[in-house]
Amino acid sequence: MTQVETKPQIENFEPTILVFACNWCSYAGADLAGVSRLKYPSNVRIVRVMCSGRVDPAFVMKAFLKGADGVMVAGCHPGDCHYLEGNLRAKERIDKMVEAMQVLGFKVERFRLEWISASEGKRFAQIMTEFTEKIRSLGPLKP
Amino acid sequence: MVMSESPIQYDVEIKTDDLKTMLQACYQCSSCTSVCPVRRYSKFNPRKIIHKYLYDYGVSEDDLTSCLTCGLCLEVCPHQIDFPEFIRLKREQQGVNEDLFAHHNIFNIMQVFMNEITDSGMKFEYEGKLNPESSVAYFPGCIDLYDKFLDLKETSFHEIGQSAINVMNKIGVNPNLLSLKCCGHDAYWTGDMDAYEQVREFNTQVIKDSGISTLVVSCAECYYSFMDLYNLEGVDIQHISHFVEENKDKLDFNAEATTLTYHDPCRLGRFMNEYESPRKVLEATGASIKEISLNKQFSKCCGVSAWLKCDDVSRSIMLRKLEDATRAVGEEGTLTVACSKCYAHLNCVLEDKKPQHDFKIKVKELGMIVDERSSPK
Ligand code: SF4
Ligand code: SF4
Ligand code: SF4
Ligand code: FES
Repeated sequence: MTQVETKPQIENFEPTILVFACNWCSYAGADLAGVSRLKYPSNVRIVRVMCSGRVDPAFVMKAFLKGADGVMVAGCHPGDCHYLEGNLRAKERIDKMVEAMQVLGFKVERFRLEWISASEGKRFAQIMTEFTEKIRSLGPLKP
Repeated sequence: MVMSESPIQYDVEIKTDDLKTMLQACYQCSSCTSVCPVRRYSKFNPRKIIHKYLYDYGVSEDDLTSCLTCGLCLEVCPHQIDFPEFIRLKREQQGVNEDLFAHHNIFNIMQVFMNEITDSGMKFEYEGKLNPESSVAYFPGCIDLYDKFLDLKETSFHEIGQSAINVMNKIGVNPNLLSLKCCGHDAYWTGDMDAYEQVREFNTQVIKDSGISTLVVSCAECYYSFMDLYNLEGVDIQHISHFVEENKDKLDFNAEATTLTYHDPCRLGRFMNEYESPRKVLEATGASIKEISLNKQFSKCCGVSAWLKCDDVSRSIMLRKLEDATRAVGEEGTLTVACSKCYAHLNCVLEDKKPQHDFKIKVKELGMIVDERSSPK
């Protein structure tokens, strides 16, 4: 059941991707992408949170356990957080989570932290497409 | 005078089950309630829980999760009613609501993560001389994860493992650093038997395959689990205090004399009956021990067990522990603990962001003290 063994059956694999997006920037960015009719993969499921600082490492780990193949946390650019330093705290906490994932021997490529502002609709779509492809190439997390 | 029949007709039919049989001998003396540390600060009442359970009122979620399973009630019960075990079995039957765990349940999630996703042991990075061929192994426990998930700025958990390895090196032993999963203690005590069985199988296999004869651990819970819950024939499990006690002649203790106090963790003390070894080790380092008024088998728990429910009651229990320790050893003294969890909770309350106390006492782990106060011979 290791991650390596699952690789072959990638054909037609549609990854499930969970994105925690902060209400003020990244979610608005996603909105903009939608309004501008930009295409991004339908594998992406967005959970809106008030601030990226709301996302506890436990949410991310649990998302993986519940079947996500990739997880992303998206917030405002540093300095732009509407709660001043929510995103900086998120980063601090999440960096530690990534270290913990390494202690557990987990492939951290499946997780990403991104800063996406409300005006970056195009970038949002790009990042989502790229991340989805990346996860698709990694294969399913659980067979 | 003729006694009339009671006008009230009782229509009760109480079914028995194994758990009730376990509690049957309880004669409601309330000794358990009077010593229970949770009872000090809440309405939690083990005697009443037993009574209600025997009369089919069930156990409320609050009661089920408030017990620290510290075993103090069992110590004083005239009929040796194993209340903590009852709670454990009940948790197994009823399940525990995830939301009641501290830190968003991250530590149990981690355990399940190790079982279901990575299926590998934890990979540690420690300095010092390590030897994968050695017959003596060391397992730090899940402390490296505490460093990542507990937001404590001045408390290092990694240091517990590092100190133990330093001490072993000073003694002349280069341990094999085992990559195990969590010991499973928390899963076991919160009734998640699936997760527990999986880690136990994995760990037993790794330990057997490594061909070691001695496994040294720092945490009281690891020690209890490997000794009592696992079946590790042929492997001698040692708490760090046992290991140092056995090898204390190979260390030089030249630090200046000091006074310390010591907290008996429930898993090492009441569960494993080990009261002397840590004290002897501390004394060997040249420290004299000032005892907390309630010590050894009557030691009160540190306040949180298996990461279940950290609330105002837990905080009060911790503050009381610090108060008792301060009373024993003085304002600027040191409280020694022999369990990574006690170390976590007590330091957490000391580091409170908005402290409701002015304790200056320090909480240190036993291995750290030995490392600080010893040098190689
Ligand atoms: S101390 Fe024992 S006998 Fe007394 S009330 Fe408690 S469980 Fe029952
Ligand atoms: S095990 Fe400890 S916390 Fe639970 S009822 Fe007994 S004394 Fe109280
Ligand atoms: S006392 Fe323990 S359980 Fe409570 S917040 Fe601190 S580390 Fe977490
Ligand atoms: S509000 Fe967007 S990250 Fe805090």
